[in-house]
Amino acid sequence: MISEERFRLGGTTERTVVRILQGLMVGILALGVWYGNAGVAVNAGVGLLVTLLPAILQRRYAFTMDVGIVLWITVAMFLHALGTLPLPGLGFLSAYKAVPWWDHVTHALSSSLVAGAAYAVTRALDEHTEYITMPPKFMFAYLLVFVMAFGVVWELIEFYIAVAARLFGTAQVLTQYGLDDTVLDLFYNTLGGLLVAIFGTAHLTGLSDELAGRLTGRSPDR
Amino acid sequence: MSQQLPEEWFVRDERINAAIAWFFTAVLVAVAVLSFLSGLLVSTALAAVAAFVAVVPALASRIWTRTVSWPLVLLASLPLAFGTAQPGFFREFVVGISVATLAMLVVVALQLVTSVRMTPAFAVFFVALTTTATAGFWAVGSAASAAWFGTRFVETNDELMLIFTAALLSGIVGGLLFRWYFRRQLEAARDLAATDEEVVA
Repeated sequence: MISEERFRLGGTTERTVVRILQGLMVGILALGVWYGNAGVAVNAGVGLLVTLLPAILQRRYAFTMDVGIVLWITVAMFLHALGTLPLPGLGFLSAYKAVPWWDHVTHALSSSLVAGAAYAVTRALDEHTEYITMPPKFMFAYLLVFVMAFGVVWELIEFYIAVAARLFGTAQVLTQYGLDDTVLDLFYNTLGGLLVAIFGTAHLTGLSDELAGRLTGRSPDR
Repeated sequence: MSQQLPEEWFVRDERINAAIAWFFTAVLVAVAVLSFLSGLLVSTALAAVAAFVAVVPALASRIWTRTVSWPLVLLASLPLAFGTAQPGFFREFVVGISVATLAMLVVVALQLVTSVRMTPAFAVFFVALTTTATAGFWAVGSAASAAWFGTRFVETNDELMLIFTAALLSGIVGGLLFRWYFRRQLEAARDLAATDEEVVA
């Protein structure tokens, strides 16, 4: 049945692109390690692990994700990892430093992932639990609130990692560039969340139905 | 906590409570109007929402004595009394607790007038989420207002991070306080059912 589903979902091109991007991220990770750049290595490594999550869920829990969603996750992680790598074409600056809009694109993309995950999980809860009902208008506001809260927590993580790095004299893994940048990050996060809230929710019902199915399967009393 | 969040945990049906709550509502409406006329958008929104959620139970049930418990209304509208005092960690934390209370009252109001339904556990999560997010929306809005209208905003990233930290902590603490209160209510209901010797399946 699982193989049937795989066949139905198809998407050979998407699958190939995912593999290529993952391969490039392995390359970025290797370069980070080779040049002893902890920021590049850690971001590429963590990003790579995130892109492997769908495959792990598939193998261990037979939880199938639409290949489009897998591609979406991989592109977001790849652009983030690539952005930390100093590039010869940019005068050996990273894209995050040299390209003004890079930060905005990655923030919008990553926050769209957060919004997507929040939507899938919350809709599954809504379907599964009879005491939780979230009409579409409320879901819209909820997604924006979720993305904003996540963005605030993310900025705090960046900030406290930097504080810890200063205290212990270790390398910077994530960077905050200042007040204006923080506010812009939050703005572009909201934009990413808004895009998912408007256009994305229809594409996520499959994922959330599968989650709801798991919740129901786990509790035999319902 | 797998049941619908009961309104009775926040709403009272007593004449004295109702009188105080309606008085607060009148004050809050006045504050909202004055704030609006002075161009203080955050105060306007806060006062208007607090006034609305205080009397929604009365409006929905058409019984004037059914209002939100007045100490909760007071707690939710506390930041209005702070004015434009110098922001600090403690002040921001108290504001956060107020926002958490307001968020919970908004959930109660939504349950009364829309088809939104939540379990107590989800409401606790939602309140912590909303409290944290409010600081973020405030930051984006205030920064835009500072850029276009020259209003005041924090000057350094460290100051903003202090405010965010206070918001996150107050969201978590506020959520935990509500969780503690809900558990106590559930236990009280269970004890009552037990003494009545009713069979609770």
